[in-house]
Amino acid sequence: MITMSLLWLSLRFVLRDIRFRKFISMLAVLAIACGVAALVSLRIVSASARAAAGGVIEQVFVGELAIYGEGLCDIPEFIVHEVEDAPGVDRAIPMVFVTGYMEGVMAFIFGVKPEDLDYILECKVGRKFADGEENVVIVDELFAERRNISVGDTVFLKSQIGSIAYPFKVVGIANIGMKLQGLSAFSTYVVIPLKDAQKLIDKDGFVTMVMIIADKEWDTDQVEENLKTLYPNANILRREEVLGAITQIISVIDGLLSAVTIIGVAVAVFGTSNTIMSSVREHAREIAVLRAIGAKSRDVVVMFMLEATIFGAAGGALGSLLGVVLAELLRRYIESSGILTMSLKLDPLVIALGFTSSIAVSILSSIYPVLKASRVKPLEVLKNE
Amino acid sequence: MSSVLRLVNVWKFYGYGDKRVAVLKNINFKVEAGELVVVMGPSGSGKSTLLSIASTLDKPSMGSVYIGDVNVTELNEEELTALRSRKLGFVFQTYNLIRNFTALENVTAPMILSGLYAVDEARSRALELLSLVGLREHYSKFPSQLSGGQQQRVAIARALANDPEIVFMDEPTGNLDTRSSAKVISLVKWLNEVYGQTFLIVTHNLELTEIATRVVYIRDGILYENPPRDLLSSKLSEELTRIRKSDIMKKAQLNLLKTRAQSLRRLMIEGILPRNEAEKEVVRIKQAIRRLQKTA
Repeated sequence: MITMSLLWLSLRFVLRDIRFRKFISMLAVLAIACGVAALVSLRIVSASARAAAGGVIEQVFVGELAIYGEGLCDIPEFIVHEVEDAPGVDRAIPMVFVTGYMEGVMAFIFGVKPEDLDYILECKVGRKFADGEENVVIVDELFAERRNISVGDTVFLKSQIGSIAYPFKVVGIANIGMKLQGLSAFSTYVVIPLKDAQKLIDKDGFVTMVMIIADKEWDTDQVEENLKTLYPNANILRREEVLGAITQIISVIDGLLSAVTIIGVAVAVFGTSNTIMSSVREHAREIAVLRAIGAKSRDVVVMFMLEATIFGAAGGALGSLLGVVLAELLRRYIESSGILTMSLKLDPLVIALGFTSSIAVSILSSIYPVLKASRVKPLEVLKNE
Repeated sequence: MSSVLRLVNVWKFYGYGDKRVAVLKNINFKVEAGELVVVMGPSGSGKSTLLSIASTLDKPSMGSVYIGDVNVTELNEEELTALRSRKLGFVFQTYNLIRNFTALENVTAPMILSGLYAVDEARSRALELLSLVGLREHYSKFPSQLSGGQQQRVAIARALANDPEIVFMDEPTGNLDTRSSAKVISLVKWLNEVYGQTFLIVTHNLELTEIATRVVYIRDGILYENPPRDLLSSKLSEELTRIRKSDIMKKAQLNLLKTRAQSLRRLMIEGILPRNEAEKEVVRIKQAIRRLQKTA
């Protein structure tokens, strides 16, 4: 049994060791902290990104289902009314998605009917466009801020496949990015009337997607079945599938980021192992003295494991703190790059994971040096006597 | 008196096969309670090996070691640790205090490791032990803040921590100046006389024999009750005869002198060495060569 007295003695030994070897100890703690910071920050950012992406899909994918075609914009617009009449369908919203350029900058252009705008955005400045209005645009506020665009200005929009840039009058500025960024990595988002979007790509009467809002009393599976019966060859997408696809993409990114974490953890492992090893080497004679005056192998293990645990705890605490700071910096970077707007989700479990894994890694990486220490023979004390 | 320590037919070998060397040769030796035994011997005589085996730090190749009635050669490492912790004390030449511990903690450590004392009990006993060796006021100092003599006295206090049956000392004054040595030696004598503490000290310091209740001598792994005076002189004459008869050594010396003479000649020709100096040196070399040839 490990007694409190032994713990007291071991703690004295270890704390002095850390004090007397400040620089090496600090490096070990920093190495662990770096690994933990990488783990914590990437976990926080990943969880925040998933939550943000989920929120975006909830907002953008306003319906439970969507019918989409094989090409860029090949669903006849007239089916919208047929779909709306299908059993279980509350509303069908036609949309055109076009990649193009606004003011020479790559943009993601959404074509939406004026009556459906309420499902997509809320204007911060100006207004939404009305029925019958043409060549009007609602611009994302981030882009407007960057390019100094105000309501009333005229901007030029051009599709990627078209050759003519059309003038559009800015009628509103909205936080479209927050709502749509989860779907794309483009940094510029604009919403124009459906007719204008069709004109941009010369696809009058066709749409990219029909968003389906199911009747609340109907089961989504049943509505999907009904639509399949109506249009056997149609591609029908569920909101969960989009969410799943995005989650999958985030998972792939997570995997890549995990590699960074692994490097961080490896640095922590080698750092701790090296520090404990050097401590054992430096104290080899003292270990032999302790063994000669009555320390069991187990007592030596307790002493050096305690040192590793203290390194792990200190590194874990510092790393968790650094991880949160790093996550905030990453969030700001991601936001400023226009990739995704998100708020940090500080999950106590992630901090606990960082802290405990730090201690676990420290203990695991110390097994070999500590075993070496426990095998020091008391006879070593007489060497060089 | 009862035996605190007993070595029975102890042999210790190092190496294997043809290279096997006997470091201890059939040692039979006892230390009774209350004795202060000094084992004298020059370097390489086997005294440290004797100490390591007697103190259970090492095992003999053959024979048995008893601490009290316990045959320690039959104990495993953990049992030996427990025995060392409760029955034996150690003082080493280089003090071997734990750098990370203060003087007080160094003395406290064996008591806590033995599992016999709680921290408070161990600390209060350690303070008393430091008073005993005259270092109570230095209790909070680290070894690096103490002189060699003070460190050795802390080591003695540490050795006494668990009231050992016997204290083993390996060259306890080996690293100390005269004044510190005197303090340590008188402390050991006082502990033996007043406390009745048993000591086994290995050393080549003659002064320690003055405080001993018994002195034994070790040469080439053999223990003697009286100083083996004839050993060195007979070894010397044997060695001299061997050297005188050695053609290889003579030849090597002649070659060395010849190459020295050649280099002197070259230095003289090149003008690096003045002629008169070179000539004097050549005369000296010639005399040495003649002396060597005479002994042929």
